[in-house]
Amino acid sequence: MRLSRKTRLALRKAGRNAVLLCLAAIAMIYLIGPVYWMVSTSLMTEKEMFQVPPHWYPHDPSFHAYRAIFGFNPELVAEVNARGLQVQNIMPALWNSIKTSVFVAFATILIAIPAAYSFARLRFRLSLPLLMAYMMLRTVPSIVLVVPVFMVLRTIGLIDTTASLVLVYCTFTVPFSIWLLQSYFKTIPIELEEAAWVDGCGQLTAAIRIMLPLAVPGIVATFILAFMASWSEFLYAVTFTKTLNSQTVTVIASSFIGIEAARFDLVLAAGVLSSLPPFILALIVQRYIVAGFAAGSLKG
Amino acid sequence: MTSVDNVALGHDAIDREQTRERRESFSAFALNSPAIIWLVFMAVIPIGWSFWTSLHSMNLRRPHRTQFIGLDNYFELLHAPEFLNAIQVTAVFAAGTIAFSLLIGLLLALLLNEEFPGRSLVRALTLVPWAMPPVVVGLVWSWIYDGRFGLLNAIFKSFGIIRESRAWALDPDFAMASLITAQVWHQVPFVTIVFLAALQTIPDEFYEAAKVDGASRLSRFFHITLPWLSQAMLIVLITQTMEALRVFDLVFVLTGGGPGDATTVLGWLTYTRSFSFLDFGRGNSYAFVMAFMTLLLSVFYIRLLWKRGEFAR
Amino acid sequence: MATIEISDLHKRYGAVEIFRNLNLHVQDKEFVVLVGPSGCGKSTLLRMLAGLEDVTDGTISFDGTDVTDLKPKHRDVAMVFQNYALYPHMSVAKNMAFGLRMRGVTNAEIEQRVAAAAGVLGLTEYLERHPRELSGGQRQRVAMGRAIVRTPQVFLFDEPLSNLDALLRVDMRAEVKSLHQRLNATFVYVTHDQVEAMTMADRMVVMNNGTIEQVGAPLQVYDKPANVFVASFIGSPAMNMIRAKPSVANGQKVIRSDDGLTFPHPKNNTGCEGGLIVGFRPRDLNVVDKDTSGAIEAKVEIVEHTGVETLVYVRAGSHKLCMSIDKQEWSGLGESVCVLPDPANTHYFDETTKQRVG
Ligand SMILES: Nc1ncnc2c1ncn2[C@@H]1O[C@H](COP(=O)(O)OP(=O)(O)OP(=O)(O)O)[C@@H](O)[C@H]1O
Ligand SMILES: [Mg+2]
Repeated sequence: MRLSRKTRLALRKAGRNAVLLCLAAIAMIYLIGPVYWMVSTSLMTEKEMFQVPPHWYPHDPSFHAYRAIFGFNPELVAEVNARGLQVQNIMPALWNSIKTSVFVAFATILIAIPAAYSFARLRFRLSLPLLMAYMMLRTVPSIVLVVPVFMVLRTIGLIDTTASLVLVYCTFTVPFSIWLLQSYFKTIPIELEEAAWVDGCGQLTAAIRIMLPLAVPGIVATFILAFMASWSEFLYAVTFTKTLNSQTVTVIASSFIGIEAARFDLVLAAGVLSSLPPFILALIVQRYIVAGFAAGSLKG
Repeated sequence: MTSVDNVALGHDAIDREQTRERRESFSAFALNSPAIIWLVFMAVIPIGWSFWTSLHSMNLRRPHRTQFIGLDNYFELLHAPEFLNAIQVTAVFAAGTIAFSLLIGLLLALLLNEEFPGRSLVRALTLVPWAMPPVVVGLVWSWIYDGRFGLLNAIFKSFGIIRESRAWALDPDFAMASLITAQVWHQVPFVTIVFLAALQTIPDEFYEAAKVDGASRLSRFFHITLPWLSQAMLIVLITQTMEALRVFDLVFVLTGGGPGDATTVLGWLTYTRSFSFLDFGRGNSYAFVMAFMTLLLSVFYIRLLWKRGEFAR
Repeated sequence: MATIEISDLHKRYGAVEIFRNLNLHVQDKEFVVLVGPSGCGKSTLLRMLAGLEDVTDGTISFDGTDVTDLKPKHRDVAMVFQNYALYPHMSVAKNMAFGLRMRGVTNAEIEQRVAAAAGVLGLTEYLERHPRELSGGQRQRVAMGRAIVRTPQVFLFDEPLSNLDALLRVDMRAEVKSLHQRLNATFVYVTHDQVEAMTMADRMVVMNNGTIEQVGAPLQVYDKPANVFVASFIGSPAMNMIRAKPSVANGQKVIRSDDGLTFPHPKNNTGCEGGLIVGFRPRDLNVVDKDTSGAIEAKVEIVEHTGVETLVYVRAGSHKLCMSIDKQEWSGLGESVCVLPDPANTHYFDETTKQRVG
């Protein structure tokens, strides 16, 4: 059978697409599978969760786990806690996480914007060394700072407060935000500000009225990345917080795991809740994350 | 444009340049001062303090016995089995995560570099494991590794690979592999995106020229693509080593450093030394060894970024 | 009233010297065009006038007041940038109003002045659009509008037309010129396009490598180029230049090139001892009879038709000369012809100093 050239090409293309799609499907199973399994488990009843072999999807989806961790099912919580778990209402922790992350994100951009401006627009001798110093601070492992910062916070009596977390998180978000923002600012043509100077602005007015509005996408992306970093943080949170007064959602979620009896439906419902905000935000700033990765300037 | 020989310039010429420089330096300093003050108080001083502490024997259980002992904590490290073990464990962990995240990330990047329907969706979803908080990564995988009802057991059994269920993360033979698997899953998106970004900058002419020369697909990959990726590979190597050094959340949730000390990486050892045993002196000296290693890495890293011209942008 | 006085201006970037001892006087309401090859420092000079670039040494004064160290906002200038530098996040109206708003003009007046400027520039229908929704020509008009609403004393233009297509450029040229007449202000205009310079300038300033080569009215510069650089830079196709030495032929003082082309001796005899450079424009080279005195024998090598004129490239001795004649069919490729530069329009320059000697 002889096919026309056109059909042959079309067939070849279809074949190629089929192969690529298969590979993509395998990749997606690898990357998304565990996430799917988390969501699916969180919707299973206790009985279904402990099926052997496991059900691939919840045959009888139920929101009991979510109801329990939001405090609508105190009996269940009491029952599992009697078996040695420490399940508690996740609301206060969610609220703590939101509070902390929003404060951190705001403080970060407030501190980072002026500094980033200086690297993008001013010429000064220490510009490069300072930028490199920020870069170095970004790579310091958090664990190095845990003990000394713990001592400082204990001295000033901030242990177990949201404020302590905000203070610490900014130490890590500020350097990478300065880095990201300064490279964003540098993409805004300086002629626009020069035009504004000629139009009668001082340097500060021009920066505020011309550069900042144009930098909004970069600032929003930085805000979101700082928010995400602080939302996901665990080491400091678990060290510096003791009660629901300041414990964040990552700490609470991890505390649901008991040694003996695990209720993974509850644990993973908490996991879903902790992952939801970062997932959504990551999709929003996808473009910037990619650019930031490529510039080697993001926390991995 | 002649370069300046000794042209007699008026005094205000030099003054002007100096005032300008002084003014800009001053503004720059003022603009950086919030960040600098913050970081000095929250990072530089604590790090210095921590180094100072590491020169003491100091245990919060016996606060009055604090004593300056110089570098003794560091010398002792060389004889401390727990430290030597942690170094070994960390090295295995780092090597494992780097090897697999590099391989998987590269394959994924090569896939995403091809045109196919739905590519942008796949690319967006690739970010998902990265966006997940590391603690949650640990929780999900510890459910997958669960000894009785875990997904992994079910899958392996259905393929007939194992007979008996196993608590993978708590099994002396498999704890490290479990930890590496979870870490690789979390890190693959980063590696993929770095490679993908590099792949997309390869000029098409390279491939076309090679095609004209009759190079096969495979030889094109080895002679054009791989060399082009060498810098990206270096970035991945450095950042992944840093990540391996700082890993904590996953260990906390998945293995707790066990069984025994099979997964006690340096970060975990530092943490338990300091907060379970309250041995801040020893803990700090561990922390410092880590800080020092990271510092070396970050010097390489910054040099690399410098070469790529990241600082000029 | 706005005169500009630039005296003893120096400019350095680090160790690189851009200007040394630059002096220029611009009269009130004058249209001055700075022209020169790329990298000669035109933009730098303009930016120093605007206050965007630091002066290393020397002074700039407007109307006798020293403004050397004044910030841009304190100088009464407006500037049109090469890439227009429109504020992307503001509408056309807001773009034009921005300068007025910054200077505290009342809203009513802003509205009225923006409307007036938009009327002049034909932008009335576009006032609510954003710059990205405009064509190149319209953007260019907005940039001009932003300058003219403020009615400053000095207007600075940095190659405002270079991003436009050829046709639009011709239109805008006339428009800028008529704006100048209407606005009654001092214009300093930078371009590297000599046609723009010739057509628009009251006076043009020819620059090269950070120095001013010649200042003068366009025709004066064209007819009497002050030195070799100006002679070769202004005029298209470029002037023919031939190196020659004084000599004697048939008892007459002439000058003669190495390969034997002879030209009449310049009328004023000064400075003709050493080598000279003889220059004549393609337009001033004519075909003559074989027996005309001083006729140069040449061979036709290339013929080009531009539409308006016909360019004939001939080889005389070792030199390739360009001759421009009225449009005509020319079929004499490879033929020998006799050519002669118009003696009245032959320029002589000193070979060492490169300055005009006659
Ligand atoms: N910031 C700077 N640092 C060092 N040298 C500079 C700087 N800005 C300009 N120059 C140099 O100054 C010289 C003059 O530049 P300028 O921009 O004024 O040229 P121009 O005449 O406007 O050229 P063009 O027609 O290409 O715009 C150039 O040689 C340029 O390399
Ligand atoms: Mg220029």
